[in-house]
Amino acid sequence: MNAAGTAPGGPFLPLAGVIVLAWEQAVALPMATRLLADLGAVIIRLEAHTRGVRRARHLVNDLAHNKTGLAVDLRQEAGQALVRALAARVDVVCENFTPRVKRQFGLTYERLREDRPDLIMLSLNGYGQTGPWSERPTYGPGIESASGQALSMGYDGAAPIRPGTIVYGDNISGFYAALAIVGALQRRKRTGAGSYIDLAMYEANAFHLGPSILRSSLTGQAEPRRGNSDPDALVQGVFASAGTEAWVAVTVQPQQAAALATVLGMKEQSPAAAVLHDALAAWAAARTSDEAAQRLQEAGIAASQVMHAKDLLLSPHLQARGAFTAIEHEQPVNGYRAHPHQGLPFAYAGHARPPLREAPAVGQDSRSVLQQILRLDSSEIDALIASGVVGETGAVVTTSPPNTTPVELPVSIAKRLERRLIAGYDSDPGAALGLDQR
Amino acid sequence: MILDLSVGVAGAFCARMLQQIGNEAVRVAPEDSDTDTAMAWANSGKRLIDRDPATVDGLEWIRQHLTEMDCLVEDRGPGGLEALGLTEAALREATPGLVLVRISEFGQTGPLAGNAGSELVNLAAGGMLFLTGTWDRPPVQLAPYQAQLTAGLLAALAAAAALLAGDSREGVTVDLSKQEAVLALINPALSEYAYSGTIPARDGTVAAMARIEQAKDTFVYAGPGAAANADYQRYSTFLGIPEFAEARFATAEGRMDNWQEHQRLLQPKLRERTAQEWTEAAAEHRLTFGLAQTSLDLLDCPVLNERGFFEKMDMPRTKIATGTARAPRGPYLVNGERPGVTNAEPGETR
Repeated sequence: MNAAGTAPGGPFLPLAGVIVLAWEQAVALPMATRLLADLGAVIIRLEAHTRGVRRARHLVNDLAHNKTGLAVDLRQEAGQALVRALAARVDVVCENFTPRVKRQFGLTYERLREDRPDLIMLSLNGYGQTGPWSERPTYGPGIESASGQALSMGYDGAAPIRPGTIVYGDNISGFYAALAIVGALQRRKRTGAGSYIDLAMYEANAFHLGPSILRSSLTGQAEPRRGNSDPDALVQGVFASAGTEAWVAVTVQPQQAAALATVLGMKEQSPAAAVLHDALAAWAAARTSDEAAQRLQEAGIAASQVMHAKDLLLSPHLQARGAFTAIEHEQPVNGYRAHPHQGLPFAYAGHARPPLREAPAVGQDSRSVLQQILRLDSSEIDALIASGVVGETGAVVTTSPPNTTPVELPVSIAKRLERRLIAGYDSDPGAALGLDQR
Repeated sequence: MILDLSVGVAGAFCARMLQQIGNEAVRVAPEDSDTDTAMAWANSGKRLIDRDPATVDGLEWIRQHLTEMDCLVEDRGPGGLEALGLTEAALREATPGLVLVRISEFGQTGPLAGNAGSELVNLAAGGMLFLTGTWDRPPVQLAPYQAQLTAGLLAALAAAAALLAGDSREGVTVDLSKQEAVLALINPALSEYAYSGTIPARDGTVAAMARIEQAKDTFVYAGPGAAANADYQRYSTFLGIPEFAEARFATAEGRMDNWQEHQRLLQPKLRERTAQEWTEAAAEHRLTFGLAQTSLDLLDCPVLNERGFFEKMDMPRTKIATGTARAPRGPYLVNGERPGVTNAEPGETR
């Protein structure tokens, strides 16, 4: 696993010098600020040291790598004042709490703008800062349902399902939030004016369904649940291939009938789509998904193995592109000094992907943030820590999955396999991935 | 100024999102090239130069106007831009600070660069497909264009950040692979395998809590919170299902062990009220239910309409339909207003 991609140049960090105060929780906003961090911004991740939050190490490293940890008790007025002082000295403030919580802690845009007229602030919540649903609590799955995503996908005639990661609605919202912040920085650079961005996860996910909504407006019909079909393709589907839980996804364009027939060894020159579909299914079942995809691609037909997590991490193509970067741990986690994560989901040609630094513990960098941004001296910081207004390292530590190297499968793993909740299990994934055990 | 030479939804949407944050965009393409609603929506509000970039005429216009451009967006695959007669070296000579955005199926480099793709294939290659669906059926795709729009959105982020760096940088090329854009949606599955060895799959035979369920009229997402810390005491009281307060339903593991009973109790109860009634009542109890809506339902949503989510959209030059329709205007509000890419009026209720 390479540490910083394979490109010769150092990383391109276009947001270097930008400082963001992120009062964040859960997934959506942390995803946004993680992208900004990987683009070079300093992200001060504001959390409470007074809540006993336990988090899986792999998830917190996905979402909070390259960030700086600050812990403040916002229930204390001194904590609120401290955060207001910080907000006046950074480039961007963002948060994903409900309007009620912001009011309770005196951290509304109107209040913060008093000290910083050109403030850029982004508020992210379920249904927006205004309107009858603004205080509704929500998680990604509720948003995927409300925004039309869930009912616009899935098997025709079967019960509705959701996108298969529990954080789809969060991630989509996070991507829009990251762009909104960069857009606001562009605007301030151009005009000198700050701005307040009100980003509802509901609207971001509905916006991501724009083509379907436009079509519904024209036809008066809802987007159907259409399985794996594509009305514009000659043949499209997900076909079982040799092995268990092995599939190949294929899209054949109308002009590719003869090319597909050749790959399948059919003598007929222009077989009907249904005939091609059945022949493709039989052909795919007789070979591995990788081989099937490769043969089809050689004929110019869009095809891919249906990749799972392990396939992806071991993909020579993704490795050659430097798509994964190791996060090194201070102490080994599950026997390994570092684990691979995706950093920026794109490359700047000629530049390595940015290095990834392990997510901070809650309050890990409180001292340095207060020193460098608020210019507080050690005795002032000591007093804030002694009074519990500020927290520092050790208040809450992240947890990691149990360090098991079992001879037999743990019961829960066996159960998860039996219940099809997981597709496979390696007791030593580090060995499978060739990670460094030092 | 953004120069859009895209032929697909991903590139067109990237340029749209760069407009959305305040840049102007010009698109060079034949006037009748929007063949579906996705292209029509992604291209709305762009200034159109009715010339095919693959012709001498089109290329001439591009070359004449290159110096006015800050950013060029294309999604023609490795070698696609060069096939038009536009090399990176020539572009940089004309516009040294140009941000060049190249969107492709598998990236500009690597053993699979140049492979063919599609929405379904992008989802398969990026790991999303493997996670989506139910255990007794093959993996299934997402709503239309999700991989394309995600790729376009992340490409816009890459470009916007580079544009912000402005004078302090030289020209830069964004190499966005749709495979890696999809990968960004499934990071928890990747890191779960790397750290713990388990390979996440699609929906199993049991679940840790309710999925989307049938209410009296339509569907409702009836989840009580995050699976790990769902409060089944509160859920029990709210639903009027006393059994849910028992210890066997208190943990995710317990609910999976008793999944059939869980569903036997829950499903008839949910059919007693409409989805709307459940969602509103749940909100008062701070439970995270979600109304399950279709793309058509959204057009009538009072919250979206009140917040100016839609705009009227004329579709004079598409092959799909003509006349006026409504479409999402922008994904968020700035200073209480919703920036869009056109001067269209906010949409009226359909």
